[in-house]
Amino acid sequence: MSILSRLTASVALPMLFALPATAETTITLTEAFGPAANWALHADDSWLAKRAGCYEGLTRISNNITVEPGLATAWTQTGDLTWDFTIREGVTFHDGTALNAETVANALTRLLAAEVPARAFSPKIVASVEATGPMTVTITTVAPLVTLPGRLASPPAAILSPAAYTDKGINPVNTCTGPFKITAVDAEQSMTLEANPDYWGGKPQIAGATIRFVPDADTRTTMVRSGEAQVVRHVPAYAVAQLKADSNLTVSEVATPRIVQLLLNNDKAPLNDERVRLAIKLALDTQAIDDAVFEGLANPAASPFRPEEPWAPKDVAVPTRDLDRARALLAEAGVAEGTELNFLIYNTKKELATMGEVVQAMLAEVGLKATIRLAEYAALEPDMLAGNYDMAFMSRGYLTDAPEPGGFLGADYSCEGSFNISQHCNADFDAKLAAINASADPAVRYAGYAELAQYLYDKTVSVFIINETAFDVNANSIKGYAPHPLNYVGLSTDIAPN
Amino acid sequence: MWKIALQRVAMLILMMLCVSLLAFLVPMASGSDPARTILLSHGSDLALDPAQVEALRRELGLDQPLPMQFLIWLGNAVQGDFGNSFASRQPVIHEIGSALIVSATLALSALAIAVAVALPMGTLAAMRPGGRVDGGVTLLVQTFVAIPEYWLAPILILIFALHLGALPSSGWFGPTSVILPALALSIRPMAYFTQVTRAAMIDVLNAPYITAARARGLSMPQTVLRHGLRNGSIPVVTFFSLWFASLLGGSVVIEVIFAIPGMGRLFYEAVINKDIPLLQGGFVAIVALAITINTLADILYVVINPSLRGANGR
Repeated sequence: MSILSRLTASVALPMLFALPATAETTITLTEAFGPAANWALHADDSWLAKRAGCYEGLTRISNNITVEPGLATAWTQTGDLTWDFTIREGVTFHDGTALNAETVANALTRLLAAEVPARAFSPKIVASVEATGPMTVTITTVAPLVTLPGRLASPPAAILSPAAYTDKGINPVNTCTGPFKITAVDAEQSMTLEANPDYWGGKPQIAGATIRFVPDADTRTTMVRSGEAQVVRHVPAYAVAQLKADSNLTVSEVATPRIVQLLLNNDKAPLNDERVRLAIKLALDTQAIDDAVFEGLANPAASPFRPEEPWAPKDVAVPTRDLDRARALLAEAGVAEGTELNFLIYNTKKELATMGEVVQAMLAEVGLKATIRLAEYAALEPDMLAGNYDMAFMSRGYLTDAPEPGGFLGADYSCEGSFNISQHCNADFDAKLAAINASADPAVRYAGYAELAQYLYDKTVSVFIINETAFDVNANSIKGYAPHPLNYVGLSTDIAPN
Repeated sequence: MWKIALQRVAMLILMMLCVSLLAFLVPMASGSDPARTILLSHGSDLALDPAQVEALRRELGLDQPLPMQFLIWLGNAVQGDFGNSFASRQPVIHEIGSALIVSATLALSALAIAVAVALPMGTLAAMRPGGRVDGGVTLLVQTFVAIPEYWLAPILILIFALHLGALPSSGWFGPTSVILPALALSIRPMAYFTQVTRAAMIDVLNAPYITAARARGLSMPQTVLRHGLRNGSIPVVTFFSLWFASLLGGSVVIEVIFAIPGMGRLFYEAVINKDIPLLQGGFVAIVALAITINTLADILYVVINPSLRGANGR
């Protein structure tokens, strides 16, 4: 941004706050960071452009985490490995190019050829994308992939105009199909968007928006209180009570598909003994942890999944603290008083360090001495993956690539899982997961996931501590803002002046 | 004369080589795999696909042996090319250039506020050492030294952005955006400048030429303005340059809180993103600037104080 335009903006900014709430209204949203990878599709930059109302995929995920039509109106699995997607008629990219099978095939083929592949749609799982009719695209997978339609809603699978794919990387300016066009980007400060009046899903009710990049959470919170921003995502838990008390603001709870787990090394004594793992679970008071660290606003967990989700196991309960039984189990397993446990905590998620101290104190009451090693995640990761630890905290999203938890269960708990930090290995578990992944019936898959989660609970493979909850805030000068559980939606056609 | 000049140049080259080696090695020091760290910074999910890691390592040339990476980097660096940022893929020199302008503006604004307050405060305190004014100034200075920026900055935001609605709480969109961060950043240098001015002015005001000026019938304020301030401000110039150099890359907390796209925030995000070229280029730029600023300060020091010209002027 030039010095002149920065000076101009300084004059324009205060005027912006004073604008009346009309259809010509522009609003301000905040994000912690701007594009950090030159819009590389695999990176968070894609999530940013998706939330900005610019990127769209062939499918989309509803707020109830179901797969819905997006730029494709229908799809069918035509063979074990092949799927046909019918492309929506009458859609144009922001640069005027028409959306058809050819532009869709071009976009997805470019994604497959990206220097750094995107996990949701990579050459490892997708063999080819072809235009097999004017408005029909055929996708061939490497192996049966029942989650393909959901993966196409993932932000990296955005369908962009051919002009977006340049030698210098992705250019999202004027190349998407969404309700808002990106018109300018200052990666350090902000990006501006204007409404796309020709949007296939209906004309947006506001004229445009500015997304400000503000790394400090307290500053972001102040911005919505002072009227400098109308939407602030993921405010700190300690600020929620104060924000709820402000009559000018609405606080929305976001049930995020993310779990804080206490990972236990299932392949190393003493935690390779199920009784010791259960003793640790019984020594912890997850409600107290929630109260101490999350102001009581998160949800103590029983299993990795939230109870309302269709794949949540039914026969589970948030563990009740029972110190006597925990001590008895430890004695039965021959674990001596004062046994040391090496406890890894990464520092990028601030709450984990505080939680670690609480857990450390709780375990001390049953005679276990947890020695905390706090460091950045990248420094801890080699020891975690190699199993050189006893306990570790992990905040993990379980619907990251597809809107089902099969990928999470496979990566984290199967014998060959790429993220199997808990060093868990059970042939029955792996066989069941393979069968689930091959089933075309969602009901069968959901029941299967629940069965596997039940097993993780019964065997105390990990201790599931907190189902995370996030809080978004919007000013009451607008209406229609609804947070999305997978962070896919921010600006939408529903947002209107109030 | 020529021998000395050549020695200086040789020393400078040697220093810059050491700095470049340090700049190259420091970002590698954490021992973690840069490709993994970069990918971790690209998303909130910690479970990485090994294929992604390998692809990025190849793309960024991180699969080359370390000495080879250094030679390639040094060869480019001497031509002013520090490569592209791993994160933004933009030339490092551009990223640093625009961030430097922002940080320099912020630092100069903060130091201008600091000097504008410190000179009169220090002088007033020095006019009657041990008096009430001196006591008040000392108390204020000690308070300013003790106030942490991460506390003061949110307080200023709460007062001026939230309650008064007079100034923006964050961003870098023109003059109004500079006021709060500059104020927050000025408090500590203001305290040090005041202390230094006070000490220098006490010495100056006891000097014979001040007594002589007073004997000529000049009033105390006139004496201070005409003869005292110039000499009393010499140490402030030295401190000003030191603070300026340190604030250029050292105002991380303020730049993060106020979302200012300066050097501090650039480094903060470069560390988070393990953006090695940006850290290396930034390190070299900051050291080179520190040397330049200190040299300029030495020259200014001589300009202000003619008595120092003797040895160098002939």
